[in-house]
Amino acid sequence: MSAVSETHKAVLEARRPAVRRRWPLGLLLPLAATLLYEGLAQAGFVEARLLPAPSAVFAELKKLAANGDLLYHTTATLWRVLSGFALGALAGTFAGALTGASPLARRLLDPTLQALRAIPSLAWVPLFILWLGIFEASKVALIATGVFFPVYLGVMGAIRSVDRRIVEVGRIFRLSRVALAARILLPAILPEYVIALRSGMGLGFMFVVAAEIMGASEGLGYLLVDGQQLGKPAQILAAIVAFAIVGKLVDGAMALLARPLLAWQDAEAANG
Amino acid sequence: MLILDHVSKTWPSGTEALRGIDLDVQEGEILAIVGGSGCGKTTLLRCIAGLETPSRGRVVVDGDVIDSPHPAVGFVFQEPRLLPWLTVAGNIGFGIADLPKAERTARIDRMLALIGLSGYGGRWPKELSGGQAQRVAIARALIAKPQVILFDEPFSALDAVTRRQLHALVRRLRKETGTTMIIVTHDVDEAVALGDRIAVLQPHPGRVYRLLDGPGAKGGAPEAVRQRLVTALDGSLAEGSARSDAASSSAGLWW
Repeated sequence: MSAVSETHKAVLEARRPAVRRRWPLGLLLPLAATLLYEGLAQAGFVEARLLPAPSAVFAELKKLAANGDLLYHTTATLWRVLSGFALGALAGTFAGALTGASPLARRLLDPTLQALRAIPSLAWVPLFILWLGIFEASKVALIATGVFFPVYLGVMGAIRSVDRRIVEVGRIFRLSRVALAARILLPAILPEYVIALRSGMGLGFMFVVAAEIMGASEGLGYLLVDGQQLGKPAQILAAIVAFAIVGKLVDGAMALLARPLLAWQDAEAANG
Repeated sequence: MLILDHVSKTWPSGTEALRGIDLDVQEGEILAIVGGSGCGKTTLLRCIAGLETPSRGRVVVDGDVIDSPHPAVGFVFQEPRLLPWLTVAGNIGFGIADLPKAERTARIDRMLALIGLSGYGGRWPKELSGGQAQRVAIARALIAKPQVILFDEPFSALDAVTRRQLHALVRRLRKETGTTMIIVTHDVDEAVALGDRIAVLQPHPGRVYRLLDGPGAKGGAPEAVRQRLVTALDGSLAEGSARSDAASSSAGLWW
């Protein structure tokens, strides 16, 4: 085998994420809580009319899944979250990159953006409804507002904390501004950027509930309101469980997509 | 090969870091620059690298005036400054990304062999010892085939054994590649071990105090060179503090 191919192989080998076979310890607590709750409900310690047993909640979930309601409402919610996330993350990335890279832009924009951040996002709801109507646009705008700030802060902070000594390595090799951004700044901020995006997505799910509660005819938030108005606590809990599962799956997908780009951090963790 | 023509540097605050440095470095030569803290060693090196612009004078490499980083000049920093998201191979090949992949890989492999790290190409920087990381930094500077490599106290954070190994590596690299090298150090033994010539800088502001020959036909035995260097360093520091005191008392007259 030639030395060339040996190096190439070694590089590929190092880039392959390590497969870890670990028991999902994180499931232990919710499983134990569910079993305890089910036991208490079966023993009659919990009033089923207000707090249905897990078996009743899962039966409700099963029913919603069988008649297609679960998929219908989950898709509606997911579409809103992803649309709002795309807009909010894009704007947050752009504004964060601008204020992170340019002290002038930071002095000009950051105080205003920080002031806007201090406003509870739900306070925007009446205005969004007035400006954009009661249908999808106002809901997506509210979610985008929620996503914007963690992404903005994350990107700005990440760019500001890039080690200037590493940037100097790029200068020594005469990288253009674009190449410097692509080959030094972007990889350097990537770990914090992924965290900011994941935080933004988490807030996106929080805001979609608010958006759907304030008026919607579809979506998991609608199932919550419908369950409350019709006195169906099992449906409310089923919608909450669906939110938790969808949110966790989306977050997991984001982490999985980012993993190949952050393989070097795995090496650090393995060493540490 | 490399000419420093009356290079001076004054910071915007008014602090004069360098005054009138004149040096002429021959092709394939190793010039060690020694001096106490604050004598402008690093500033001088950064001017040669094009990372700082001299306030007066000029730096010329092979006929080109250096006013920004130049392909003929490589730099090895005090810390390895490896990019943590690139493997060892990726770090070494960072400066030759525009070459065809096959040539790039071949050059990286040659460099890995040259620095004694064959088989380490796929490792991450975090998996290297300090000495190995500094070897990779040297290879990263060397792979683009610069005519001059500048070393800014590159071995100061390493233990004595590793330092000695890297001194041997630097001498071997010079022999095999013929690259001109300028090494800034505050370590007398390092200057004697590596320098064909040794420039002693004095502080306040940084100026060349003495230019000594390294060990060999002109300079004599290493111990003799070492003795001369220590004497010159003592003299440069005494001169530097005398100048500093004079400047302080002169400034005091205004108050």
